[in-house]
Amino acid sequence: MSKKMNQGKQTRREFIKSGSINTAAALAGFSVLRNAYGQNTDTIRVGLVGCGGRGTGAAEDCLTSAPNVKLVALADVFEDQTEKCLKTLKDPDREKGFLAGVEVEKDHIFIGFDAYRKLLETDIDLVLLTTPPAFRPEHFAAAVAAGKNVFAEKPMGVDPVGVRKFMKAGKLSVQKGLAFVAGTQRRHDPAYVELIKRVHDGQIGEILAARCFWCQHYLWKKDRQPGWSDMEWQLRNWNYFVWISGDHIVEQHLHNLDVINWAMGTHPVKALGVGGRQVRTDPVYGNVYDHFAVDFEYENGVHLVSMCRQQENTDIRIGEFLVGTRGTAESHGDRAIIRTDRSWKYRGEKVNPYVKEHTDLINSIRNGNPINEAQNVAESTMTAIMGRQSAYTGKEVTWEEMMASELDLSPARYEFGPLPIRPVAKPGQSA
Amino acid sequence: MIRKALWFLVPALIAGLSGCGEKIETPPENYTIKIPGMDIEIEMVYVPGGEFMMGSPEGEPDRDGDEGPQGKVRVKPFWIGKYEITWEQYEGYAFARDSTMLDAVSIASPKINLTWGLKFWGWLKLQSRLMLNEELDAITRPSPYYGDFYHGMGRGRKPAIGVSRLNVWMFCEWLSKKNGHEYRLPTEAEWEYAARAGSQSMYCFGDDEGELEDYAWYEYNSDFETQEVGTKKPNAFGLHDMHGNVWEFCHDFYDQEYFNKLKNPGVNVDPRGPEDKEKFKPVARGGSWDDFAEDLRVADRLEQLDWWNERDPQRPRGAWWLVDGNVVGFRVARPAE
Repeated sequence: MSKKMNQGKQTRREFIKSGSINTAAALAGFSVLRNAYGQNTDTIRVGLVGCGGRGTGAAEDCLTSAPNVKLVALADVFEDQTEKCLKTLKDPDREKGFLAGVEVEKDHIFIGFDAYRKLLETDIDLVLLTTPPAFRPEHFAAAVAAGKNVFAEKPMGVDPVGVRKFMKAGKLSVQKGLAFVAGTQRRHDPAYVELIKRVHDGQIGEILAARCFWCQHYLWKKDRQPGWSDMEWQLRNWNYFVWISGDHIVEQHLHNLDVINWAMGTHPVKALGVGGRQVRTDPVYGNVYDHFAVDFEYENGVHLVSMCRQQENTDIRIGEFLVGTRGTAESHGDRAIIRTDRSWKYRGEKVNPYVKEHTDLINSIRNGNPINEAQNVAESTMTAIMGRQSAYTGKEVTWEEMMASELDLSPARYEFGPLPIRPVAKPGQSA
Repeated sequence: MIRKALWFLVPALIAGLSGCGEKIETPPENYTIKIPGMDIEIEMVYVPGGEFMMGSPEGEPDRDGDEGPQGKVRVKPFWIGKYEITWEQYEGYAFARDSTMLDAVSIASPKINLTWGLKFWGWLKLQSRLMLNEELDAITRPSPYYGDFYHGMGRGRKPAIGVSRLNVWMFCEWLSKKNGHEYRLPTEAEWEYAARAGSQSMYCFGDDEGELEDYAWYEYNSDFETQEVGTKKPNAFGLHDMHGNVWEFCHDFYDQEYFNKLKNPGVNVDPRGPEDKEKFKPVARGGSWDDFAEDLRVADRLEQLDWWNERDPQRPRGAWWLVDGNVVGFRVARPAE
């Protein structure tokens, strides 16, 4: 993070001496153009399924990640979301200037629960799946069936039935030679890539234990409006309903669990967790917990202690920590550090990983060597679900049980109308 | 929207008419700011005015082109924080459920009048496009940030980091309101005068990099993170961590031509860099826990880096928080005249 982390002081001085106005930008290393493009720069036509804040951001990141990328189709359950999304992307006073490539015709905007199917019938090359998590397995399976490359926000499902459906579609997408990149952007962040490479190279020796955290304050919430059905209210507040988000251990803490799985090269085989709903108890917060702590165990006996919390006015900790026989490795999002007899901190290029993940994806499509992360990220999703289920039930849960579980949280019908809320899980009483 | 903007300014007008408490003269000596009802104390050091050569001489090792040519500068007396503002101090402003919090902008200091308010509103609207109707109190208190604003480095007496220039400005307004005097960031000239504390060398103690570890937390000794303020030797004014720990934002904004715009020869009294937030980026001084000795030199200047808020998933980016700004903090100043 030092100001000379990139080109070094010498270069910075040269910039100043040569009168470069935009020294900081030159130093920043965020230049998208630095990322090598493939030879092939045929137009990539993109469709967006799920036009909320993250979907809009993903579209923006995708459009700026490589040349000749066009956004041509939108799908969402709510019309106001597509309108807001287009308005944001086409805003001439956009913070970072006019965004090229937004070319969505009216007949390419699809609304409703089946909008994704209509979008997949258009001649897009790449689809961004950024709806709330519940829909991911079905949308991904449909996208693979339609032969599309995919970027999907994490997580890859909310229940074992959904994640296994996702895994199956993932295998098919590999067979079909399709690219798949997930919104677990840490896997595309050079600081993380370098840190994990060093761990894999044995710089901290054998991994003995791991910890990871996502403890933060509250998330946003939208007040229920008159005229909103149960379904609409829940979808617009999707974080708070287990059937839509999978709970925050799945929806958010997955990031950190994924890093440990990445370092370990595999997923844990069992979990014993605790959790509950201490502070965020009002019914407007649906049926999710506000904290979890889980002890995961990998096949080689290594334990991962994981903690996540969304409670206001509590201490924050977000990061991943590994203890090895020769030292430790840690990452805090903005710092990647190895402590051994010769400590190291990442000082390389700073890249916006939210953009880089799209650059990597598009390059891989153009190079004919498609990235496919589906299985890895699906396993990390299942890891989080395993931890959640242990906390919900109060029982130790194994990977085999998850891979055989018939737990399916999806509603009987996807339609606007009454939708009762499942009771909050009670350990020892909930199945 | 306009109507709402005006509506929120009404208290400002009332405050402007009724005045905001009597100013009590502060003797020219060190004192401690105490915030009523809060456990917050901020130690202020009196810095007598004086003249110095600002910038670095040609030939100083590792000198950057934006540090000169040196100019003769006179600064008027002021107070400056003995330490960088810490999390425990900043949190009182940002997170405490202070019932008078909404007053921070609308009543603030007597200087906040309609013109100022409108200017501020225009700037805020342009820069951060915050919606007043939803977030009246977001004007005074930082919007929530879903990441780790402590950056995994702890809180307490660690310096507050990653707070945007807007956020810092708001903190100063809040402090002014609470204390009844004008607080702001030091100008670059004030900062450098305070940091030099009478010296004209590379560091406040001389030119020997070997001594730096007694005065500063930097790449060499920081263990990859900020350290509690005031745990290294102070300079001759009694100020701690002017070298290292965190970069410190200044009042004026970065101008690469700063020194070329000084009168030379001649004496420049309280020079100020640009204050146009649209055209210029914030500037910070002093180097950080993550920097090498050469970046801790008194004359070294840093223009805010774009990537400090590039990863902010929120729009607008970096209105309140600098997601990757884990090297930058601030200390407050108060003019004596």
